[in-house]
Amino acid sequence: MRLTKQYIDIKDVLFDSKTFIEDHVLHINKEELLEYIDDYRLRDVKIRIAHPGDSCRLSNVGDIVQPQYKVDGMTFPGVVDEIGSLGFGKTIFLRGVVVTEILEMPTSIGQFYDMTGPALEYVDSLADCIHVTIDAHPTEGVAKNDYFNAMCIASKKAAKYLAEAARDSVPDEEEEFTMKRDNLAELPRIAYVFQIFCHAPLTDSMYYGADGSMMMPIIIHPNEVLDGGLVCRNYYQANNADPTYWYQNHPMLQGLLKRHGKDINFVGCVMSNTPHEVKDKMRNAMMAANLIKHELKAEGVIITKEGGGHPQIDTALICDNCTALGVPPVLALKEFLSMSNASDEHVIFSTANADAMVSTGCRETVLFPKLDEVIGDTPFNDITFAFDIDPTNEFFHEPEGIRGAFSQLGVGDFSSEKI
Amino acid sequence: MISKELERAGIPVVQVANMTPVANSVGVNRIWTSASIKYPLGSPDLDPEAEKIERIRMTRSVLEELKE
Repeated sequence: MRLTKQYIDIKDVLFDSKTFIEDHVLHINKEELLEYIDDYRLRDVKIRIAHPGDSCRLSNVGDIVQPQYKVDGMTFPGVVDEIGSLGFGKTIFLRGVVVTEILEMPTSIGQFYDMTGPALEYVDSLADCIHVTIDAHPTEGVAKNDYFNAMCIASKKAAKYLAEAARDSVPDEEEEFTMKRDNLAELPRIAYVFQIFCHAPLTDSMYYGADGSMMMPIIIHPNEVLDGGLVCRNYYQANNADPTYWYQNHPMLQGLLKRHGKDINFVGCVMSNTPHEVKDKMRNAMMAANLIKHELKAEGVIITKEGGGHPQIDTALICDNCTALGVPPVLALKEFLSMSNASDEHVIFSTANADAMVSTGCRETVLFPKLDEVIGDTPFNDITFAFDIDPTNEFFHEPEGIRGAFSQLGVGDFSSEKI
Repeated sequence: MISKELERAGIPVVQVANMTPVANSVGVNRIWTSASIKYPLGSPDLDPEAEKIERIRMTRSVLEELKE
């Protein structure tokens, strides 16, 4: 399976009478875009542009997605287009611009995004992106989950619409993703468990449009995720889940693919979820370990997780099951209990089998300044302090509140100490 | 942690929890496995009347555990 990502660099975005790309400037016909993403569940839809460096805060942010268009197939199959296989062929990606949802219904744990200030230190390559925001209210009588679903689809449609404008552009760069099968005999066989945070509808991710909260562990090709096969639909605990942008640019998958054939034989990826009952966790962990040992025939396994506390139990159980089958695991984890906690232990599980853990950062409190402009009418709330935060003013918050930050997939160079 | 401190003070405790591996690793003496993380004593698949009966049954079962 060979995937070619064709990158088109975007230096500026502006509204125009026609949608096209010229000299790295994306011109958007706002009316045409609004018509394309129209949904009976959304009203008062506003499209706005926020540039890095602007004194601007995006309030109550939903998903962030990179514009992509599949030249010879389906774009976001199961969400925007019909079902079609991903991971091979050519896909256009606009670089330097993202589509960002602004939610006008409160979620359980709200998220924000600042176009300037300390927030940008936590979001890696997102910090350089221009945000095309979709801000919409629910149509009267539309239930919360229906509204969130509509927003999820609208942003993916917009992402397809914008990238389609580049179908005749000459790519600034091309990148190939493939897993060669020859000359691998001498290399250690390494598998990867990609544990996605899914435990209920709308607190999940969608794989080819399928609800991730009910899934069992499956073997996937890494290219399918990098090609838009996995879409974030987490609207209730988004602080612990990654936006679609980090699936499209999955750091762990990209890293493993780069080293495949050099110092490791990357034998494949098992995707597993985080159910809300311990019985389901035990079943999934057993099945994931069996796939790793008997199907992928791995000699070592890397596990990452999304989500907060209870998904650590999935990680620990997969760790135990893999060890029992003779496949040593390495865990990459955030130090979740690192703030305001007297405990020396920064994770909630305890197993002797977790003897190789890599920290991808800890928690802290940061003062976010007052900014001139706020996009979005709905304030976001904070689970730690349990009150609404006024986005028009300065406030203390954890970087976990920034959409796209605090990723547990290995984004940036965060560790116990910031390097 | 609360369970352990209460027992240290001489008050017997049953911890109703679904994440039993955590309760186990902390060293809780009596663990009663609940329905789910999201609804410890709930059964969203049942109709409200049946769910009420099921909730009472579960609570009685927890109390029985306390006598052990």
